[in-house]
Amino acid sequence: MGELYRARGASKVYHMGEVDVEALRPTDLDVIEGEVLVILGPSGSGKSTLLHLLGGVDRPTAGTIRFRDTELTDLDARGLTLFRRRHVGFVFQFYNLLPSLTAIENVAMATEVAPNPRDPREMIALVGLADRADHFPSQLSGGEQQRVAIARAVAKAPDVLLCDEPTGALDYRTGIKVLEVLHQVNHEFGTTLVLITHNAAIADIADRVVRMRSGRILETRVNEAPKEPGAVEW
Amino acid sequence: MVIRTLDRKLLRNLHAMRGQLLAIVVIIACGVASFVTVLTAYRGLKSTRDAYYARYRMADLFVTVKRAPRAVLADLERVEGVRRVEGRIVFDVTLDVERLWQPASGRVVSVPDRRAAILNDLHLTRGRWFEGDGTGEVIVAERFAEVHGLDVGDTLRVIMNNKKEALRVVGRALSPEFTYLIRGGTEILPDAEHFTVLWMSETFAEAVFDFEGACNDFTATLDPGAALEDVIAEFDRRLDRYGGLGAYGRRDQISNRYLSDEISQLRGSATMTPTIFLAVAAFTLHMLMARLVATQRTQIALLRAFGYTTAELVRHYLKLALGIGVLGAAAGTGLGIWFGRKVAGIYGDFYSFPVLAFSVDPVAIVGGWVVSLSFAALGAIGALRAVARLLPAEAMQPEAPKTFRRMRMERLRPFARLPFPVRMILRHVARHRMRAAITVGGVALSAAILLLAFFSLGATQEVLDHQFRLADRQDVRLSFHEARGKGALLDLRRLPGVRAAEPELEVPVKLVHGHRSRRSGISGLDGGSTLHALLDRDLAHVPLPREGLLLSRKLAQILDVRPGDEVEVRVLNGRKPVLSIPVESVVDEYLGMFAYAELSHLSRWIGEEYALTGARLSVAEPRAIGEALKEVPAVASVNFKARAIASFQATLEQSQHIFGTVLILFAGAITFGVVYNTARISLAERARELGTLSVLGFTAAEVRRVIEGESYLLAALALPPGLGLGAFFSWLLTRAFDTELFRFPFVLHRSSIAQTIAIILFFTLLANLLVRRSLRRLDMVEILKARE
Ligand SMILES: Nc1ncnc2c1ncn2[C@@H]1O[C@H](COP(=O)(O)OP(=O)(O)O)[C@@H](O)[C@H]1O
Ligand SMILES: [Mg+2]
Repeated sequence: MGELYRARGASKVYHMGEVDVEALRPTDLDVIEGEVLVILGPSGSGKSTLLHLLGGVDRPTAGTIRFRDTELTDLDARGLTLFRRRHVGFVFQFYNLLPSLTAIENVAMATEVAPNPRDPREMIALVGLADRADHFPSQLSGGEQQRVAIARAVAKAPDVLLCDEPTGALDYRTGIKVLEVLHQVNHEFGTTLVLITHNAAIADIADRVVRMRSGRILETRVNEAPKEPGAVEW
Repeated sequence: MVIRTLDRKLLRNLHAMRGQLLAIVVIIACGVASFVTVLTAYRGLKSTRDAYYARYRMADLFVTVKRAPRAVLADLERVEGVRRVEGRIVFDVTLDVERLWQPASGRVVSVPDRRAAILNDLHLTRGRWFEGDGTGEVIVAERFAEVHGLDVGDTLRVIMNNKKEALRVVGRALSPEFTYLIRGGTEILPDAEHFTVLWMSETFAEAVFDFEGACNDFTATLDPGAALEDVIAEFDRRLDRYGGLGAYGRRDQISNRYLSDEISQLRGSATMTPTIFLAVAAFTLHMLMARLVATQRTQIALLRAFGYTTAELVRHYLKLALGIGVLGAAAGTGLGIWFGRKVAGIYGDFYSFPVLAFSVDPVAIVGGWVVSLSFAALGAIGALRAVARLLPAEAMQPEAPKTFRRMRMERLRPFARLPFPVRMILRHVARHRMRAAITVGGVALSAAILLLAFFSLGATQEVLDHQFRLADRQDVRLSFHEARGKGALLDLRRLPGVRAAEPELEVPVKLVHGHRSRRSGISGLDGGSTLHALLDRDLAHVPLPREGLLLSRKLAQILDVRPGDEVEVRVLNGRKPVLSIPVESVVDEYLGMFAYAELSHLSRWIGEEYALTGARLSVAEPRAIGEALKEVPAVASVNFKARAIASFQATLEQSQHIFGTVLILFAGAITFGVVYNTARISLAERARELGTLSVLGFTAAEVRRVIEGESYLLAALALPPGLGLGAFFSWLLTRAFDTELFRFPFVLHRSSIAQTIAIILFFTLLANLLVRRSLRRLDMVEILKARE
């Protein structure tokens, strides 16, 4: 299998007044097409920063990031927007649904800008919320909202799903449910999954695990026997 | 000091919201400025007029007679309530001004040979009083001299008592009696190019008009508290046998009436426009403060938990509101005084007042501050109540999540077909109804102001058009010194280039109906008149009455008569017959106030076979006839329509341009301020949504549409009520402007509506462009990190 991403020497420095914060030190990372990659690390270790660089919402201070044949660092703002629109699905810790749109509308709206979207109704059914499709976010529980967010991300038929602590705000049972959905998407559609967590247990579902600390990758390990999300416990 | 810290927080809050606050300050400043401007101009104009009248002894009472011995003055002085009476010789004459190819008209007014403190005193702007007995010397009206470049030492050829005389200009002067250079009678527009006053020495005037020891015009001042009506009655009684044309008070003096109309019109606008501005400012401030308090709930709760009292916190937020009020008041009064002086200067120029009582008006300034601060406080009330009601524990909870519900209109099928951004916009508006209503209200009010402005510009044009293009079809209108027979008309027809000449007979009368009465003129017209169309407002021709009178609607209202009623007609000249004549019909005209009758009937009422006092001409070559008429001694005045309109139009346009520009800027400030504020608040509340859209791959333009779409939707929603309100204001204006001199038609042109819409959209666009700047600064990554 080929590489989806190839990051070389990618780093990120934030300037906060007088001080520079090295959120991400120069990092090499490959993401393989179709894999489930878990990035594990304590809070503040630079996971989100790395994910933002991969997703094209932010630019590295130095280094390069290639997505298939495209150098993301060569793209202008509009190019990055189009990149996100065509290739990336995001899932956030706090769901970020549009509060003024219903569940199905949230999903459908995202498909409007995608080149070959999937059917929003099918996606809502996929995450098990067919009967709640016409509810507004404020009428849904946290887990339900996160599943809608996943449906929204998947409906664009992205090449990669970038998830930043998708279970971080959820209780155990709901969290497992969300992981199952993500797992299913990876299996059914072959969508590459990059998942951030500070919860080591979740790393068991990964094909590969990247461990980070203080803006650096400590190790990259291949998981010989990934578990089903249902078998994970914490 | 704890309070100090709180103040620092306040300053930081202010800084963060400076764009929005500035917009509110601008709206308040506009309101205060318009208030101060109008009040400064109104009070300044009024006190200038009063000072002018007092210093130059403007008369309280005027009366013209045919001829009376000067001895009658002693008799008049004895009338109870009269303080002082003066007699003079007044004649209308024609003059030949070199610069003009047509004759101009002049009114000779005699003044004592030696300078004295007379009534209606002159203010000499140049030159001197008469030398010796003043023979051959004249002082001309400043404005007229200015237009024609006449100066001391120049000569002016005047046809007086059928003789052409070359007079030497010895001075230029202003008089309170002729603040507006307007001839009166059939002339109802001021025209400084073709009309002047010619002040001559008594001795000279007596000689020229064969008036030794006699006079034909009296002016008087009254004791304070004297009953004008009684004095008028007594004067009329005593002057009857000298051919008195009926005394009248200052109120009916034409120049004064114009001036007073102008002043009262200013007072009307001193309240309406500022109120609109300040109300909008208060609402916008309310919106902003509510938002501020909502985002600072946790802070407020914390402060309360630390032990700040409710009063301290309320005072804290009130300070913010009052700070805005102070800025608005300072900017507004400054702007208002500056602009008020500009306006005053324009008026001063226009009237050439010799006295200027314009000053920085403390009432206007104090008023501006009071109004500004109270409206700012008013705008803060809602937020202050919210602060006072907030319980510490309650506020520590995060604000309830944004809940959206389906709107009723979503049951309609087409809703499901709307694009998502539109649905978002609609639901957002439906969720923030109060804010939407304030925005819609503000924009609607500015649309109303704009439509009103365009309406009044259009309506004035309409009136001029109606009067001078459709009703008055002659090229030249002239009047004779005295009534003449049919032969005079035939003479006119023989003048070079005259295509048609139609007679007019003006008879000065007093119309009486019950206890109501009015001095007026009756115009006698020929049945087949084509040069003067009697038109009502729908442009329908109104036939001349066969036997009775046709009255202007306004005159009929004043006399309280309806067609079919009889009015008593007291002819004021000649043999002074008193007749009872039926009113046959009423015509709705815009300018002036007239009574009409068929010419041969009118002639018979005054005991003549066929008389005319003037004529309307249609001519092939105005210039030729102009030169010819300069040589006809019987002609008292000549009016060339085209020139008169042009000069009036020019003055009108000047003031309208200023007025129009200011209103457009003011209305623009409201629209801009309100739209900008709403968009910024919306932007702040929805930053997370917009960031999400951006991360999802929506382009900047697509993201922007969600915010801008809301602005345009609100502006569009504001247009129908705004235009409706503007139409209502316009209609109110037509009611308020129903004066004896002017009336407006209520006609809204499509172009006025189109211009209003265009300006509203333009300022909405402008506000959106500024919002774009803030939108560009939105940092997606930051937004995604932030917890709800
Ligand atoms: N916009 C920023 N400005 C300054 N520092 C930042 C910014 N974003 C992140 N950081 C810092 O960079 C480091 C890494 O942050 P992040 O990538 O969010 O870590 P993680 O997601 O692993 O918790 C942290 O120390 C954080 O404080
Ligand atoms: Mg993170």
